[in-house]
Amino acid sequence: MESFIAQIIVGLATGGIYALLVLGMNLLVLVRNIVHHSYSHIVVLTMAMGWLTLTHTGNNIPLCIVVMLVSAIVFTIATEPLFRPLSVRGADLETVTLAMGIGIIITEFISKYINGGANFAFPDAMTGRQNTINIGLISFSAANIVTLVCCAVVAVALMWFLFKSKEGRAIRAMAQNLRVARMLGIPFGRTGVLGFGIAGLLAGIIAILCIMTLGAGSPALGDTFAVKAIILMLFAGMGNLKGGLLSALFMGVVEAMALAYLPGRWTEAVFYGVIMLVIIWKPNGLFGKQH
Amino acid sequence: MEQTNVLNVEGLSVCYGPICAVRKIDLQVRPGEIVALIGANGAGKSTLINAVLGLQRAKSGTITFLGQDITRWKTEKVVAAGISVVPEGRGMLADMTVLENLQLGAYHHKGDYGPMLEKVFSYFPILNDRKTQKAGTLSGGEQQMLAISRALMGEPRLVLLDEPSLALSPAYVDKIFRFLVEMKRQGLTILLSEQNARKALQYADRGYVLDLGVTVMEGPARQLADDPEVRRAYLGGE
Repeated sequence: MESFIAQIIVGLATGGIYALLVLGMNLLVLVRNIVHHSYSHIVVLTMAMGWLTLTHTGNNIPLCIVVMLVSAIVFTIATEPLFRPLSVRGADLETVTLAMGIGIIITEFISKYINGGANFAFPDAMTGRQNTINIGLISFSAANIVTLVCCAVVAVALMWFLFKSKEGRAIRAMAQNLRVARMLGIPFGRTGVLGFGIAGLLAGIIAILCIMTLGAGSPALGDTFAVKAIILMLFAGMGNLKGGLLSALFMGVVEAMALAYLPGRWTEAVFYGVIMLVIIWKPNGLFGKQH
Repeated sequence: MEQTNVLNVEGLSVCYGPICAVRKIDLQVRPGEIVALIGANGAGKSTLINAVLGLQRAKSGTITFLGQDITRWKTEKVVAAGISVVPEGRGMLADMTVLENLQLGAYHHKGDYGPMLEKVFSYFPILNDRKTQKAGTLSGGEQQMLAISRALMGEPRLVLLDEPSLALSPAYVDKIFRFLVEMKRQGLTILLSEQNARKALQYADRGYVLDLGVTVMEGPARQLADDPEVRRAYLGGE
C-alpha cells in the first residue's frame, strides 16, 4: 500500500510534466493553429543550455535557472516567424513538417555538441534527488513533490491568464475565429509573439522540472517527449486545455503503475495501448467535441 | 466644407488578382450621418468595408478617416483609431460568453470600459441577463444586438455594419435600424452595407448604389428611394 501511494505520487509528478508540455503546445494551437512538434525539443535544448552553464560556471545554480528561462523564451519566440507564413496560409501539413524539421536539427545539435552525445547528468544540488520525504512508511523524493506543486501552480496561472486577462481573451478569440478577432482589432503578430513567449517561459519551467525528476537529459529525450505530448493532445482533443491536463495526469499515473507492477519494459506499451483504445473509441479525443 | 468628413474614400480600387471588386469608388461619410451602401450580392459593398478596415489592401486610391490617411494601416491600428465593425453574419465568438464578446469589443479602449458596458446593458437588458451564457446560445436577433453592442464597446467614431439585416426577422430588422437611428442622434456616424435596400433607404440619410464595383448612383436616401431606376432594380417596385 505504501509503495502504491509513492507510485501514485511519482506518476502524478511525471503526469504533471506531460501536462505542462501539452498545455504549452495547446497554447500554440490557440495562437497559431499549429502543432509545434519541436516544443519538446526546445525543452531538451533548454536543459542542455542549463547543463552547459553549470559545467562552465562551477555549478552556479541561480545563474543556470536564469539562463534556462531566458533561452527557452528566446528559442520558442525564434520559431514564431517560421510558422507565421504557414499559419496565415492555413498550411497544416507543412506546419507539421516544419516543426519536425526544427526538432531534428535540435536533436542533431545536442548529440554533436552536448557531452559528446552522451546523457548529460545534473549535479545533486540541482536535482534535489537526495532529499527524500518520509511519512510513516511512505518514502518519496522531494523533487516529485516540488514538481507536482510547480505544475499545479503553473497550470492554474496559465488558466487564469487565458480565461481572466485581456490578452488571454484575445488569444482565445484568435483561436476561435481569426477573422473576427482581427476585425475586433486584435493584433495578429503581437498577440502571437506573446503566446510564443509565454509558451517559452513554460518550456523553461518544464526543463527545470525535468532536471529535478529525471536528473539527466539526452539527445533522444526530445523525440520521446514530443511523441507522448502529441499523442496526449490527440487523446484529449486538439487545443482542449482542461482535457489535456487531465489526460496527462492520468497517463502519468498509468505509466508509473505499469513501471512498478508490470514485469519488464511494458510501460510504453501500456501508455500507447490505453491511448489507442481511446482514439478508436472516441475519434475526436476523450474531451473533444462530437461532430 | 466647414467640417472634416469622418470618412473620405477617393478613387478606391480593390482587386483580387486580375478581378477588381471595387473600381475607382468615391465616397464621403459626414459626422452624424447614416450612409447606406446598397446593391446586389457581389456589388463590392463588403469589399469596400473590408478595405476601410484594412483587411483588404487597396490597389489604388486613398481612404481618409478624420483627416488621417489610413489606406495602408493595419486593422488593429484602424480599430484603435476609432472605427469598429459589425461583421456580416454577426461574427459571434460563439464559444465565448456574451460578456467576453463585449470585453473583446473594448480591446482598444484606453480607459475603464465599465461605464460603456453599463450603457450597452441599458440599451439591451437581455445581454445583461445572458452575460455568462455562450454567445452561440443566443437567438439570431440577440446575436445581432450583441454584435452591435460589441462594436460600440470601444466608443468608436465610426461604425461599419456589413449586412445588418441578414437572416433577421422583419421585427428585428426594424428594431436594429431604429436603434441605429437612436445612436446617430447621440452623435455616432454609421456606414452600412445592405441588400435590403428598402429598409436601408428608409432609415439612412444618404445612399450609394453600387453595381459590379462601381457607384452607379448616389444621393439623399429619400431621393434614391423615389428614383424609378432604383425602385425597379433594388426595391422590386413598380
